[in-house]
Amino acid sequence: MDFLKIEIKEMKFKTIHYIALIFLVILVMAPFTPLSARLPFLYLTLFWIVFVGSFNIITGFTGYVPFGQVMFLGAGSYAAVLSIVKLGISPYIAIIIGGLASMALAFIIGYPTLRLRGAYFSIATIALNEALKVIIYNAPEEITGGPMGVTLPTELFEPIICYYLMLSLAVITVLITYFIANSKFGMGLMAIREDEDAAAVLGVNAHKLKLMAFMISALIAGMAGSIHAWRTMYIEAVSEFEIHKTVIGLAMLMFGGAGTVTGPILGATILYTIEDYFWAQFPFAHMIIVGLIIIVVVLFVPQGLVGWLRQKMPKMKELLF
Amino acid sequence: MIAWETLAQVLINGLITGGIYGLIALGLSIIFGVMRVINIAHGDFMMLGAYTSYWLFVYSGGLINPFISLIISVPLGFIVGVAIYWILVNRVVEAPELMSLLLMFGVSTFIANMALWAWTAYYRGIPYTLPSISIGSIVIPLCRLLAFILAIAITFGLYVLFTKTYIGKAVRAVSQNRLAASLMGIDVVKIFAFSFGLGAAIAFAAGSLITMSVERAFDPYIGGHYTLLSFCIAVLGGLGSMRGALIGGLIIGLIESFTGGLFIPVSLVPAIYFAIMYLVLLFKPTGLMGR
Repeated sequence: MDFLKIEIKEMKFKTIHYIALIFLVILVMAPFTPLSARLPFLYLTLFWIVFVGSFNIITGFTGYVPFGQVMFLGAGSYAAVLSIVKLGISPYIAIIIGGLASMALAFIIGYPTLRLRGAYFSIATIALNEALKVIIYNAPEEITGGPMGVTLPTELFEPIICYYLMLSLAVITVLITYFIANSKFGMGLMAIREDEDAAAVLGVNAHKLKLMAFMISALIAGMAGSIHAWRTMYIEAVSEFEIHKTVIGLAMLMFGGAGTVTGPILGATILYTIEDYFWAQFPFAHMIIVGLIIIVVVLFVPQGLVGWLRQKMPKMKELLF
Repeated sequence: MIAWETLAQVLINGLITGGIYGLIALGLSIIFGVMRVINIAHGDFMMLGAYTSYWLFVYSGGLINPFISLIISVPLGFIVGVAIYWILVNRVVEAPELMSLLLMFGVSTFIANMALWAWTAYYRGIPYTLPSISIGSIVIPLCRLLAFILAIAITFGLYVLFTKTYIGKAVRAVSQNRLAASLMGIDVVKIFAFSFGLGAAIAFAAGSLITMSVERAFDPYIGGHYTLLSFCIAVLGGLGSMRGALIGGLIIGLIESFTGGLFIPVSLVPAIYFAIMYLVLLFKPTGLMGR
């Protein structure tokens, strides 16, 4: 595991670290302050930060886009909920199970398709997502709940605990992204993104690295799905595997800046806030605008908000990134 | 034991479906073969084609049936494709594959939701039927047969286009070697625009035909399903290969009618697409006809 070694540079505390710390303190204290009225909003923002962060680890660093990324949320939630309901396992352990199930799925789908160019991988993940959806939907009700879905027993309802779990997962995701961005592993991934053939010639084991990044990404998404299932207390195949979540997550990632540490946080927070306050009133316009955001960002600012800021304000870079 | 009549019926259904599936995958394969762009919005173009036929049928009071509306939907598809190429795709065609993939994903989301906004989520179907032909106990609906014949005719027309005409030969030259083609005096950007238009026109045609044969009901979100289906067929046959798309279409059509009709519920068919795609990618990623 030599390539996982992280080169610890002199850790200078920059302004961004203090800002992050202040936000973290606010988020930790939130349930005990007037902010607690907006706890569901904060919780969902954190959920999106985690999901977009998991997307970032595979898409941002390697340049491969799993259009079916939502399946890891779905698979995680089903693995967790079924192990709680059928096996009577504690929800905390079920979250781990959900993450591991998604990770196993990522291995199965990633192993053959990550050898090929991006497009095969992207569409094969959509296909697996659809396959999982119809299999779970059509399976006998005793096993997966079928079209009826599965409900968790009401005595498990713990919104505050779920909030803290999602907050911890968000922090872990950001830290993992930070370490990847500054490790030899991350360098390998970025080399793959820039020029896979050149990277392979220089001795980067592209297939192995991509697969590892994909599995880490799936692990995080699977755990997020499990926590979210616990929070909502109910899962159902069609909405768990709804491709819209991928589209929205992708728009957030592209908007914030793929392949950066702060990009997914900014993208998820800004777009989810706008969605919560404004777009929710116009459900049709919402997805149209999400599509437009993807098109505009790809054409005009492929580096995203953070990349754009870095370019336009080099002084901010010293301060912030 | 399954009676031979049932088998013959399933076989004919599969072949008819497969012919149209081949046409669907052809559009995707041409665009990929020429410019290495995966058109994620392929299914959404089909959806637009289906709606074109639907509105023509409704507003003409049933005069323009879906077979006649091909005369309008095919050129319309070509125009839409060329426009999307000039406005959007041309900017990313030289960029890494990721960019065009993301761009077309955005286009697909945009088209599907615009359609949803404009035409609502109602399932629509074109209330146009023709009588069926019966041979013994085998029944062939005339609509499906006609759609199949038209699909084969369009495919044959494309074959002639690619082998006999200047522009068709130019498209093949560009797909074989972009640089060499441009050195021979072929305007590569124009050929790209033409191919993208051609791919979209095929999608529109397939959309019009599919309302008459395979899936008679459609809604604005049907596109995702067809993008997946056409990718699965194209991968099976070999992405970028015309013959591969046809053979892949026939195989998938047959598999679908044999399994979906006889052994498993129809709603599980997407799982079969996935299983096929997975096995092909695992063992022979270049597909059956791939180089």
